[in-house]
This record gives sequence, C-alpha cells and structure tokens, in this order.
Amino acid sequence: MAKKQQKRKPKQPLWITFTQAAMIAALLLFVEFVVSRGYVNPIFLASPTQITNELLYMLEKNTLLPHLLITLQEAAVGYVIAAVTGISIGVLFVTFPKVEKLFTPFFAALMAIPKTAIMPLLIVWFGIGFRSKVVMVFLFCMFTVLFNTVSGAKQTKAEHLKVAKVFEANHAQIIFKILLPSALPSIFAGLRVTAATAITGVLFAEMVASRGGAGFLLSEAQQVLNTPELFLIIIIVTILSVLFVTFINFIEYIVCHNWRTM
Amino acid sequence: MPIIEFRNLFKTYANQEGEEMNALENINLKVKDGEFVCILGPSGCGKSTLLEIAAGLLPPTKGEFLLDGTPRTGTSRDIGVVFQDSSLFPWRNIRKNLEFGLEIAGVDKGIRAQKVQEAIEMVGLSGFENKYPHQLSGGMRQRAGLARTLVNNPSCILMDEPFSAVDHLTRLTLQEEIVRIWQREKKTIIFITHDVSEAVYLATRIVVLTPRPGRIQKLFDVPFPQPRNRNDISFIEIIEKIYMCLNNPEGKDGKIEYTI
Repeated sequence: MAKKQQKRKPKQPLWITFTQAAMIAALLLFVEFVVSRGYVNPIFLASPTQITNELLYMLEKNTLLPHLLITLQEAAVGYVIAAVTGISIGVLFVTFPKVEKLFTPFFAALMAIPKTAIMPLLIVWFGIGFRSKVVMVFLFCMFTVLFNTVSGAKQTKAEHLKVAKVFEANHAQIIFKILLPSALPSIFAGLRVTAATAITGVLFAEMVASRGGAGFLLSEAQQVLNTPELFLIIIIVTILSVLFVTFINFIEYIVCHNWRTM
Repeated sequence: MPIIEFRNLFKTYANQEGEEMNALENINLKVKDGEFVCILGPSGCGKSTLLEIAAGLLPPTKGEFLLDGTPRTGTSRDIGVVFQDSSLFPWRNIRKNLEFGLEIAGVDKGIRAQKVQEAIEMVGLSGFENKYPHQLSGGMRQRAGLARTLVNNPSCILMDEPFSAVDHLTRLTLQEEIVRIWQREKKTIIFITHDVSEAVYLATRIVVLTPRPGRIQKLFDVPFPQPRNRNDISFIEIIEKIYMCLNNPEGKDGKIEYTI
C-alpha cells in the first residue's frame, strides 16, 4: 500500500500537457515554414522534413548505425572501466586512510586538469582509434566516481559503525557490510552524473580526430555544410545521453529501491 | 557475584579551550547478575559516556571496568547494546538486520534463521520480517533494535535511552515488554534514561548521577515486584524522593522547589 502511494506522482492537469505539445508542434511548424520558404539561410537551420529525410537517407545508405555503434562501444567501455576503477580505488582509500592521504593530492591535481587539453597528447600516445577515445571517457568519468565513493563512505552514520563494533565486526566486514552500502547512494549519484559526461567525452574525442563515430559525423557534416545531418546527430546523441542516464537510474532502482536512508 | 563492576572510573574530556573536564568522576558501581539497573540523570551528566565505556566503545581515562571479575577493555559478545534511535541499517530488511550479529560471528545460515525467528516472535514483530526499517513506526524500529541484540543472546544488555524517540503510549507498552523479556530471559540490564517514572517502573535499582561532572549521587532500591502498578502510593513516593534528589545535586536536604 505505502509503496504504491509513494510511486504515484501528483497528477498534472491535462491542459498543461496539451499546451506543451501544442508549443512544440508550433515551433516545428514555424521552423518548417521559415526554412522551406527560404526566409532563413539553410546553412543555419534545418527543417523537420529535411532532418527526417536525412535520417531515412542515412539509414538507407547504412552510414548512421555503424557510427553510432562505434560511439556507444567507446563510451560504454570507457565508462565501465572508469566505474570499476573509481569504485575500487575508492574502496582502497576507505580501507587504508593513509593511502588516501598519500595519493589524494595527486588525484586531485589530475582531476583538475581540463581533460580536453590532454586530447592531443592522447592522440600521440594512443592514435586516433578506439583506445584514445576510451582513455578520454575514462578520464572524464573516473575521478567523479572515485571521490563520490570516498565521500559517500565518509557519510556513514557513526551509530552504524558503533553497532558494527559492538558486534565485533572485522575491518573487511565493516567496509563491505557498512561503509559501502552507506556509500551506495553517493556512488550512484556519481555514476549518474558521469553517464552524461561519458557521451560528452567521447563526442569531443571523436570530433578532434577519428575515423568513425557520432562525433566524426558531426565534424564531417560541418565541413560539407550539411546542416540537416548536424541537427539529426545532435538529436540522436541527446537521446543517447538520456537513455544512458535512464539506464543507470534503472540499475539504481534495482539495487536500492527498497530502502531509503533515514 | 557481581557480573559488572565499575571501579574508581574517571573519564576526562578536553573542551575547546583545552581545559580538561571530568565527564565522569569516581564511578563505583557493582551490578549483580539479573539486576535491572537504571542510570538516571539530567542530560549532559555522562550517562551515555558511562554506557559506551561499558560497551567497550570508549576507554576510561582512569579506573577499571570489570566483567565477571576480570578487567576488560574493548567490546564483548556477552554485552549487547541497544542504541537510542535503533540504528537499523536501511539497506537491510528486518530479518537481515536481526541476522547481522550472527552473520558477523559466522553462525550457520539455518541456525541464524531459527534464532532470528525466535527473536522476532519475542518482540512481536511477526509479519514484518521482510519490511525495511523506513516502513516501520518508531516503536517497531525500537523493537527490532532490541531483537537484534537479543538474537546474539548476550548475558548483559546496555540500553541508551531506547524509548526516548517514541510517543508516550508506545513507550508505556515497550516498558511493559522489556520487563517481560527481562523476567523471561533473565538478563542483566543497564538502562539509561532521564525519565524518572520510567526508571521507577523498570528498575530493581536506580543510580542517580549528578550533572557535570557525573558522579553517583545516590542509589535507590525499588523493592516492588513486577508487574508494577504505576499508581501505587509507594511507587509515587519513590518518584518524589528521586525528584528531590535530582533537584538538590549538592546533597542538601529540603523540599522540592517549585518554580513556575
């Protein structure tokens, strides 16, 4: 009973939904109108019809999905490595506070480097293919996950630690049964933020230098002034980004929808 | 034979100016097997500090804490603690929360389940095994906190104002239940409270502490058999005596001063 009530959202009046839909439709119609009538230079704007046609064309020529697949692979591999590394180093830091003291300044300094500045160097080191993209995504994501893990574990309630001590839990048990579960909400917050960052990182890396991927398509379309394709890719990567965050939310829901921190 | 003894115990804290302050001063107390001792005092008198020393969570500055005649520091499986706000883990359901101590001790799964079931029935939480702490009321959470300690079967239970966060009526029920469990399980209980009538209802002996520094001001025996009648005249007389004692921390004799 309680659970059902908690899930039910306050109902939105129908007219708000209706007006919102109408506003979007009006905007699309307006763009369609000004572009097709030639009021706006077609280099600056693409009409919905042009974008749809571009989508159909690219699907037909099979020039879209292979690139999206490359981007997805690069982002997913980099993200997973970043998440695993970030959480592992976080656990290490929580387990050995002296290690944390020793290394935190270095990690903080690395985190402070604007990642985009390292891209040329990454290309020198790893080439313009898959690996440099994965490393870029890794650098974009890892530090946030790491510091969220550590700060989450530090928010563990003192009372919970007392309970563990009273029951004579050992160091490993305290870490895995108390500190990490306490840190989970904070870890997921980090994972959620970096899910969107991962897409940003991979697109940037692909735009700088690559032979494929959504970022590659963007810079290619820009060079030949294919504005409909630019809009199409922007729409697609936005959807990708949203889907990625939704996926992380879904995992969080599976892991901890039953409990709430009190 | 006293199973718990505080001997010449001091606990000193340094305050912000760096001065040393005695939180507890010269505590000498023997608690016999099966006693129900309430430690009573105003807030800031070091009650919780005393309990944390007994639990082995804090070392005393001076003096000793003895369990069954031998001095000890650190925690013991023979001493269980029930905390003020129950401190259940929100990521475990009630059954898993209750299993925690046995899990840490490496007890076999089948035995674990059986002992947890017994404890759940003892505190009247049947049907709520699979609920998570936030789905329970404050009183139920406190029952679960008590059950988590009972599962490990310690001979002595320390309780730190366990009923202070629940409403008055729930509190009265919980008091009756703790007495029932104490009688049935023959535990030694040290119970911290700032509620005089709660102490008189529960305890076989009441220790009144003075505020800052915490010293033992007076001991009261409560000779009435359980279950007790809260409206009994002698029951009320003891309450009044304790109030007098609390209002005269210097030990001067006199009537209660009513200031409204």
